[in-house]
Amino acid sequence: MASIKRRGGAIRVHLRPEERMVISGFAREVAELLGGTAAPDPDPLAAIVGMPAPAGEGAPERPTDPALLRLLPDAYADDPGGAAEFRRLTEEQLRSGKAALLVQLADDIDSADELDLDDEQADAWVQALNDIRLVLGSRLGVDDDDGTWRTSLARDDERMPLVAAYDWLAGLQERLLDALTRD
Amino acid sequence: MAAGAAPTVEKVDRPIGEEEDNPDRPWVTIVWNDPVNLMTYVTYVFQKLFGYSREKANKLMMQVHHDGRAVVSSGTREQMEHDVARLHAHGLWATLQQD
Repeated sequence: MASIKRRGGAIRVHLRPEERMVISGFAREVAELLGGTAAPDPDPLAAIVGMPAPAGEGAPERPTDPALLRLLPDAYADDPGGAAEFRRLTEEQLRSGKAALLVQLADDIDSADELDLDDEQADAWVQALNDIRLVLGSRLGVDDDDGTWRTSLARDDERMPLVAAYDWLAGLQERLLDALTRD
Repeated sequence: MAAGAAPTVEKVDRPIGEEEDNPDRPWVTIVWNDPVNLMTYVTYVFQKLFGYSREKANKLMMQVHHDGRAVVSSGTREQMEHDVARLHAHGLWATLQQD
């Protein structure tokens, strides 16, 4: 069971090997989805989470992948032209910023099974974990606040393992936030 | 109205086109509800990005949660684009529009 505790000025995080694999794996997949440079994971479950970013030049287009769109949303609700212009000016920075936090999370996780995080690192982790959950949520069709989406998944749906990860990562994020905001 | 009160200003309906082009109307940033985001995370982001007290951040978060959306800041278009960009960086779904 992952442990997250305040230890003086730091937040000590202890993770089991399988927990580290889950976080690191998903973090690198989402970084790849954002156009990062991590090698794609041959694991078929990871392949569901991340899809290769299309190569190409020119102005960034509105993502067609709903998970990617959720990470890089429109800034104007009713103005496609305004949204496109905003995307043209800001998307690259948003993509690379998110990818950097995800890769950093994965590297931190891979480095040791017990880590002392300062507030800045914990904040970065919380953001990266959130992006992972946004992608998982998109893949799982999480579209309501009351859990009805869970009943839409058949027991043999290939995405079922993502549900456990989605819930577990929520708990991790929650406990990190608690440690961060504790007075 | 009681005698002696100052005359009220009559509200005049302006044509829609003129309203849209008025640069003096403030812009607002709207955060939309997303079932994935933890309520504690949304509150945390509001405190972090806008310096709101925990109470105010929590109140805005509950508004997003219950009403589906909330106005979290207002100002010039440039200021709101900056706020939206920061909110997107934190995984919140935000848009800007004229008030």
